[in-house]
Amino acid sequence: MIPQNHWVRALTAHSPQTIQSLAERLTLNWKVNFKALPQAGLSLLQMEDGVFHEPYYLGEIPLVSAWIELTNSAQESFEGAAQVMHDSEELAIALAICDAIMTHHLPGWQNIAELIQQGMEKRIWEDQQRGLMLAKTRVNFSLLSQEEDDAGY
Amino acid sequence: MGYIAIKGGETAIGQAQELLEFLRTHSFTANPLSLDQIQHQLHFLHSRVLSEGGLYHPELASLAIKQSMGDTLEAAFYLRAYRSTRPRLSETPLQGGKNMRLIRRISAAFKDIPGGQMLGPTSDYLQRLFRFELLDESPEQFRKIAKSWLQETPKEALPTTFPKVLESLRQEGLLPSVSECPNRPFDITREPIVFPVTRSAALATMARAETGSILAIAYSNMRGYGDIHPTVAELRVGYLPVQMPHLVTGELIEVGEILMTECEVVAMYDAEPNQNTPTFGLGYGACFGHNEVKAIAMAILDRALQKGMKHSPDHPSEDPEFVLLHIDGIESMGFASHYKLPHYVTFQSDLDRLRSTQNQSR
Repeated sequence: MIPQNHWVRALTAHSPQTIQSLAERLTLNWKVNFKALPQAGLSLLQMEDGVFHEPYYLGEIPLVSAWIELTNSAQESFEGAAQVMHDSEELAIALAICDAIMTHHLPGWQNIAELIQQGMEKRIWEDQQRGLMLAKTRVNFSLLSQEEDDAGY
Repeated sequence: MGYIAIKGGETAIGQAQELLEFLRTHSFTANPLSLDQIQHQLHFLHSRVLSEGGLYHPELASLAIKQSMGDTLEAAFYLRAYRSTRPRLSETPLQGGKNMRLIRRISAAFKDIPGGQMLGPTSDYLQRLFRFELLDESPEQFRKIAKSWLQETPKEALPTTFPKVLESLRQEGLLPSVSECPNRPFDITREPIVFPVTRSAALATMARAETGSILAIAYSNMRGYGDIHPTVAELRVGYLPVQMPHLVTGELIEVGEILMTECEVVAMYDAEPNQNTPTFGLGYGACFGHNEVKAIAMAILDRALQKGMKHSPDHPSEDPEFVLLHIDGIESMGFASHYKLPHYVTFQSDLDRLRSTQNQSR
């Protein structure tokens, strides 16, 4: 099972339409209420400088957030929330719905789990491409006084 | 002497805007640039606009480049204008560069660094000779390049996160200690800079500085108007996962990632009279996107400004007021551009005064 802190990363490997249509389909028999109004705006990116470990602001990022509650016909309620670097409130709502369904194993959670799994595979592929960029350009410079060169790299 | 409002010219101004659009499109056979093409084929231009705009929004940075027809200053201005219309929702928890998923990592200080050096995508070792085959590059040839790169890969990929080079120097006691109780960072987008400034204000200002401006002032230091003598301990390019707390559980969740460049320089050591053990000086630079020259220039100026803040500045590049008030592209472009606008009354006043003075001297 992929941990919750990777769900947004995995799900956003798919198109927003894919996530939104799945969330819509899975909540046909549920009432979706907002625990807080969805918001789209910016977040200030706080970084730690690498030399003195002091905080500073590198700049801003787009951020959208949603916090929802799903209620079924038996009046049982389940919360879910999501924040994502995007502008679309609809996407954040869909991710929050997925979060609620996955967290509480509500009907259809297997569909989301499958989407998360597929998304994670895409992300792992991306990470592997980056790892390959490093592997292909790994360098071992030799000093001129040394006989051996960096053949093999 | 004051400014005076003008009126009229509405038709001409409208036509001038349309003419700009004509200039963008008048090659009747060409296709419009897609945002994806701009982001990937104009990688460094795109990175520059991201960092100078101070907003990590790759799609809108591409749009800004398209709309400004490649003018970096104008493009950054579009991002700044856009950001000013958006609500501020939050600030992220502290993010650390050591979590970056790297695509490039080099050190000029050590031949061997823990995890090794990886050149990544760089033009550092290119001969600057034209590749004339690109004059007539077919879509098939273009697509073939990426495909063949993916086929010719080593069996094993490397991990993408690595420890910082400076960590080993710090363990040896060769570096100054880290800040114990760092202050809350200064938000340059909400508060005006008043001197003396905090280091966090200087870093934030330099992170969104215009590349040419920050490079020029750092270059003055490199050439001799300063004595930083930096060595690049580590230069890294990669994707930083951005984490935000989950609204229900509070657990940190990855909400996206940003491409960024980070540079850490070791400078000449300080032998302070009241300091028991001398240590190296340090400088730090970082910016959105892939912009190594800017990150290096920022790291040098960070060190120069620390010196200027501690002692009195000996050179312009050590003077926070001189550096931080002259590196913003939007501000400097705005001041330069305003000279194009009608100054009829003020100049008439100059003319009148000169004529009067000439008449008196005759």
